[in-house]
Amino acid sequence: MADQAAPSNPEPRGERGERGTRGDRGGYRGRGRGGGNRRGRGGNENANSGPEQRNERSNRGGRGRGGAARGGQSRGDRGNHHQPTVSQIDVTATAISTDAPSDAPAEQNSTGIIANDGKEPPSPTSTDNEEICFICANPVQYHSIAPCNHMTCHICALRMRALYKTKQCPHCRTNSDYVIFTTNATKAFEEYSSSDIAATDETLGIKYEGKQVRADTLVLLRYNCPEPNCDVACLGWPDLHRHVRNTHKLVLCDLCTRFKKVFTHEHTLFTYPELRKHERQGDDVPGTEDQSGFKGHPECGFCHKRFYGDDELYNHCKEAHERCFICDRESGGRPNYFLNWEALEVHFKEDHYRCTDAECLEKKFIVFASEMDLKAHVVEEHPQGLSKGALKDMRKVDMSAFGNTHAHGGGSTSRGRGGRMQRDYRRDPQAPEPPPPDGPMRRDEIAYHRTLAVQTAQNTLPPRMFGGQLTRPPQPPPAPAPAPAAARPAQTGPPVSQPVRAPARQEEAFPPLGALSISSQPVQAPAQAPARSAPARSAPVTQAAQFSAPANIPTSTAQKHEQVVGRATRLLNGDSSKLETFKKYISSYNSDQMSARDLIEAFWVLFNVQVAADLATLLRELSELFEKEEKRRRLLEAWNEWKSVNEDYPPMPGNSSGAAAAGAGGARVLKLKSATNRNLRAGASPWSAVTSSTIERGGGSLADINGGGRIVPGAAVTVAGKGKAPVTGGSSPWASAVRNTGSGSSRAAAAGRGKAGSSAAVVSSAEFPSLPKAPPKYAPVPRKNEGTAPASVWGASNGGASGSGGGESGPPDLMIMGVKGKGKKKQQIISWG
Amino acid sequence: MSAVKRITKELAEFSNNPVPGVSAGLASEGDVFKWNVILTGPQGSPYSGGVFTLNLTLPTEYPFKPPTLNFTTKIYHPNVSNDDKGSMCLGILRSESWKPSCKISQVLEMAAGLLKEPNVDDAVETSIADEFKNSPDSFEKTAREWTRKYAK
Repeated sequence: MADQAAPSNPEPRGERGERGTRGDRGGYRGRGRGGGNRRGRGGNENANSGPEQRNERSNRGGRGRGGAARGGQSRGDRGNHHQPTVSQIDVTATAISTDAPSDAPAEQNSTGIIANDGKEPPSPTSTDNEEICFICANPVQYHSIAPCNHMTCHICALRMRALYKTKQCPHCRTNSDYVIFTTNATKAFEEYSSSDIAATDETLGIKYEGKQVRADTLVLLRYNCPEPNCDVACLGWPDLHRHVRNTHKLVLCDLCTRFKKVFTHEHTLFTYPELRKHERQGDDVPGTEDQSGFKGHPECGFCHKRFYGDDELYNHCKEAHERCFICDRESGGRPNYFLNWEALEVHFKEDHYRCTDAECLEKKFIVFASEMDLKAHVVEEHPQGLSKGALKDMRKVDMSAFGNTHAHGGGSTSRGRGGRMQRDYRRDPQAPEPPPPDGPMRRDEIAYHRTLAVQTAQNTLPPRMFGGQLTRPPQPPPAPAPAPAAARPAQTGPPVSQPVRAPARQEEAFPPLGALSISSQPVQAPAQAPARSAPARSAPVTQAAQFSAPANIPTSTAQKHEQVVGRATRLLNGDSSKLETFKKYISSYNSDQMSARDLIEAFWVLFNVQVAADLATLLRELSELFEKEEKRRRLLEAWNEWKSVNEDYPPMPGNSSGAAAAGAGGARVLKLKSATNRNLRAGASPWSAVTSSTIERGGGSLADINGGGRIVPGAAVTVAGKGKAPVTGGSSPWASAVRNTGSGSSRAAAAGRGKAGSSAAVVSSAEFPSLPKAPPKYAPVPRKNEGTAPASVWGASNGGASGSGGGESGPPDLMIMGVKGKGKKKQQIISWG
Repeated sequence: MSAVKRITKELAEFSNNPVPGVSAGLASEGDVFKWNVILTGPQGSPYSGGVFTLNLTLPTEYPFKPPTLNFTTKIYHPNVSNDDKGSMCLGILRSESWKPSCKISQVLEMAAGLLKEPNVDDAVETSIADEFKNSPDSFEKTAREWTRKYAK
């Protein structure tokens, strides 16, 4: 029954035609598929239930099989196709992975597919036939299948889930708690039973069909150095920043690492001048393969602080600065910002008509564009304060100003271009003479002229700088303003007299607003953050002390509980399903199903917050709820550790839990670098080619390590005979590989210390700066002393490796691979992730 | 990044399979993030005979973030903001309803469709939308006039 579906439907379907790649991938699959088919792919009842999909799938199956006949191709050759020498190596790899039986049975049990992983010898000819991901247009390595049975490559799915934090299907936006990462492109989501799943990641909502898939996925989430030939994975963003600065003498853009939704290794490394260019005008290189379309990080003209993008700048301005709603209206919705409330108040007083009634002043925004509007307001709202005569007076309309006011009113009620046009049109016959500039002008006119002057003075500024066009004149010609400037909220630079003028004036009177405008933190509204959270945020390192301080505000547990739930609800924007998940996490932590570290990790994914500080209060309050002292302590410890590693950077989700599984190693990192970025990093592809075949399958047992060593005998030799200096030093990959080894070990030590607790972790990160001393020693003539540091720790396993393969000597590049492999092993065991 | 690859692919697909009434190409050679789009006013609509130019801007995070469409030709339309940006408001272009699987050609098709049939339920210019609903004649008159004035 199972098999009938697949081959019975030979004609290709249009939609699938474009995937076109079945042949080779299918081959790989076809072989592995024995198991899958046996389990009843394409059963009849399925065919009935979903004819369309079933059909499609059958087809795929058919094609997959055809591929098998053609000899197939392992995904391992993804990076190799332009590297003719690789097939040789791959053959070796095949042989060896067959020798390494330790992982095969387990995987066979779980999937029946993975067992064949990597055994296919690649056919270097078939690059044009690869399967392309619909979303990213890159070749598919693993498939991600959602319950709606839409497929993407695993990288896109992971990007959505881990970086964009959405569980929606990229095709149909259906939310799915889990997707399956698999090598099998033809099996429907519902056909997977729990026995097909080798591992599940609760926080990201990913089920892995095999350990290999899991390892290859988690490796993406580590803090891999973006340098193409560097296989170092760091502990967190701060650590990575230090690493690239010290080891590569390059920097990462801080804003990009915080906000850019890319995997760590996809970030760009800059020299300092490059970074400045990147921030100011972007590093886009139109016409090249790696053009980004990026035009720089916009700067707030008040604070001189850059923000990741327009949205972030807009949020900052919304939170830290004040807008004049009247000017906004006048300028057709373009925002007009003032440094703070004081500046805005002055602007209101001088340029608009403010109601001076005490109550209205209290309300702050009782301001009018025209005197008439103000009078109407006064007559309506505050008649009691006026004598009869005055009231009558108020009702009088000053006709002399009416012509303009009328035109004005027309402008402010109808929006945008049309409104302005209309106004101009009307003004022409009605008021042929523009109001003389020296005559008595209304306030808004004065304001207009003033800003006009400011503007002309600033027209010389390049359009991307924030000129001081805070008050856009009401009637500039509707000619489109320079696009970038228009796209960003208008800002007032410091040279502009008006808004900056008043900043300190009444600071005491409005302390909260003043404080707000200074604060650069993504804001928790004051109402949400009771006073206690403030110290927690400002002094993350000393937070342990804070935590242990007795809580004095809510006394009963019930109250505390309510408080936690309330805060969580706010952080989740009232999403009740997420709140349920939140509660579920807590109870699984409470019942020991989840470690404290995983809990924090899960929270990080669940709460879509930018910085750790936003979670701090929640976690502190939550910790107070645990009755067992042990639970409380462990949660706080994990939290502190997490914070000390990440400081205030948003960490990659899934990372800490990946530590254990980070059997994926440096070489795999290099491979993924080329896999996600293949066309850019031609230099890396030979590496990945070798790598893909040499890396152990199955994620991290010692047997694998030895297997890895055997594949590349040269490596084993180098590792074992530390003192021996192979002749081939000097090439840059060499150097980097070696360097990695060196720094790797000291780093690993630091990582070990980090484990001890938060304070230790802080100390260890403080020690990181000492790292740069090491590399120069190794870099020029790499081999000499390279092995000394790791020797004691690694002697044993490396010795084993060398024992198995020491006699042979590989070509130099193989040896390099070996070194990388070794670096990887190290990371694996010490668990850097 | 994946964006360039996908965009290049879409550009190739679009040139092989153009959408009727739409022509599009890169605004400047080599920069795949900016497209120039020309819509011809569909027959039977008040925009008939007009030629509308638009800028299509793709974000660096495309296809995970939606592109933006801006009319550089003034147009009297409920779904196009009546300001100097001329932003086109399309349901599928809102980031909360954008799907990474959505292609540029679909976006352009949708834009062309909106010229034929404005979507008043998703309007940016509510006053124009009201006019379109309540007094279609005066809407058509203005739209035609603007087309004559700006889109020739």
